[in-house]
Amino acid sequence: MAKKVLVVDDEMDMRIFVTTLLETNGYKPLSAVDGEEGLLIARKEKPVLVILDVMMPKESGINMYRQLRNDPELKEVPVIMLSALSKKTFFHSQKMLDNYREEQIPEPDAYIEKPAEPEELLEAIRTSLE
Amino acid sequence: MTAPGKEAYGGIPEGRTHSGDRDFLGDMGYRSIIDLLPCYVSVQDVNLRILFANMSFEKDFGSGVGRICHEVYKGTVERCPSCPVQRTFEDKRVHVSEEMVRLSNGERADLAVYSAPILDIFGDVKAVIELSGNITKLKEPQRELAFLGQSVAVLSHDIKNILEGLQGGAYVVDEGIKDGDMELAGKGWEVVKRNIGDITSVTRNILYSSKKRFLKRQNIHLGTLIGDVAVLFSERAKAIAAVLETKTNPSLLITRLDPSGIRRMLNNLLCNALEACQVDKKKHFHKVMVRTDFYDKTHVMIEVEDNGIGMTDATRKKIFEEFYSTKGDSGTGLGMLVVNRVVEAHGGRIELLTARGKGTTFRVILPLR
Repeated sequence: MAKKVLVVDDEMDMRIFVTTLLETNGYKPLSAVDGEEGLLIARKEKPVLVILDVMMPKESGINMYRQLRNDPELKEVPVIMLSALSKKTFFHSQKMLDNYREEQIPEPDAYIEKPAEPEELLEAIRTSLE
Repeated sequence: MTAPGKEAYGGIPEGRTHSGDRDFLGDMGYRSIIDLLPCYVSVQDVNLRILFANMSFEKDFGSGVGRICHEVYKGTVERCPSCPVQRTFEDKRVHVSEEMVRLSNGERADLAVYSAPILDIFGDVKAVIELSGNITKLKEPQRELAFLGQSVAVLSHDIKNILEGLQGGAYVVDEGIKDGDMELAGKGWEVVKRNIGDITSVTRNILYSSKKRFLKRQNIHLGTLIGDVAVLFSERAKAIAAVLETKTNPSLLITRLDPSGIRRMLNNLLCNALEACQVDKKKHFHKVMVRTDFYDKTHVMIEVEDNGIGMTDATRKKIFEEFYSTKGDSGTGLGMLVVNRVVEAHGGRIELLTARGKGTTFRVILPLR
């Protein structure tokens, strides 16, 4: 059975692109429009990988990522962050949140800045699932 | 200083004029010179009541003596947070601030305001003299630069988003073609087309806002024009399962407006309305209504009403700041700027009614002329 990969992005065009990329490469894509819906689906479907946007309405990718890492059942699932936000900004925000909340959240498995090249994203997906 | 009566115009008593000045001043006295200064001079008491105002002041703001400073300058009941006069009363020093005021003819002006104390024999501040220069002309290029910087930031973000859409769409089309999956290719093509539409709209907004435009008023039938614009948006409305309706008072025949400006304005308002519907997940039924009618005998109104997500107080305030202050803004897209420009160029105004979770109505009121 094809491996389930969850795509969380509020941009419809981005969801269509990433799900097509997954589907044509033999995965079974699931999609969600924000962190809230993403968490619901992740808990229900137990995907093998999550591809997560950062800036979304309602629950942001930053929060969803931390919730995934704090969830006993999901904390081992690899996550690829895919965002227009620069890598530096994202890691900085994670560090600040770690300090502020006194947590130690591990870094995501990969961080890709948009716009993403299909090959680059595929490569990251394969590496994360090894 | 006491407020002089009208008889003081044209000269001050002989004995108080320095003899050296007399040749130069001729029959003019200091009072006439103060009156003619190309800046606004007033003297105010501790309650900011105007005790004296020069002629330049009265020419642009009407009679000021006896009234309160901020009422005359800004038409507000509250004191300005940056009021230099109050600070001079407190510390006897000269203070400077920049204020945005409204002239009695309704025009807005930027003023550089200086305040200096008038001391009595005990050294207490008896009154404060305020001198304001009109710096609107100087502020304009500054504002334009700020606007430019801001547009570049907004645009780069928008264009990056659209490029992502185009690249992603093209990828999906490619995959569809590769696998002979026409349905997938079609889906990708929709993405490409939608993003071409977006970049077209962004480009038109740039063109519209980047050059000084003069209104080209023509005889137009608003109902027809609105119908044309609505057709352009019918696909997009269908894609998010929203109903787009127009309603025009049939007795509203020909109006003299700038058709390309009005089209641009409607494009942006409809775009926003549909987006507000798209992001609202709470309702099952979404509708955007464009209503056109007489507002009164001399004005026409165009209303764009949606039952989308509505605005938070913060957004609503920001949008109003955008409309009513020219002191820059943060993060509003080019769309509303263009709407604002079109409405201003027509000598009209915008009203906004919005409630979070319920929807938003923009009402544009334009003079018929």
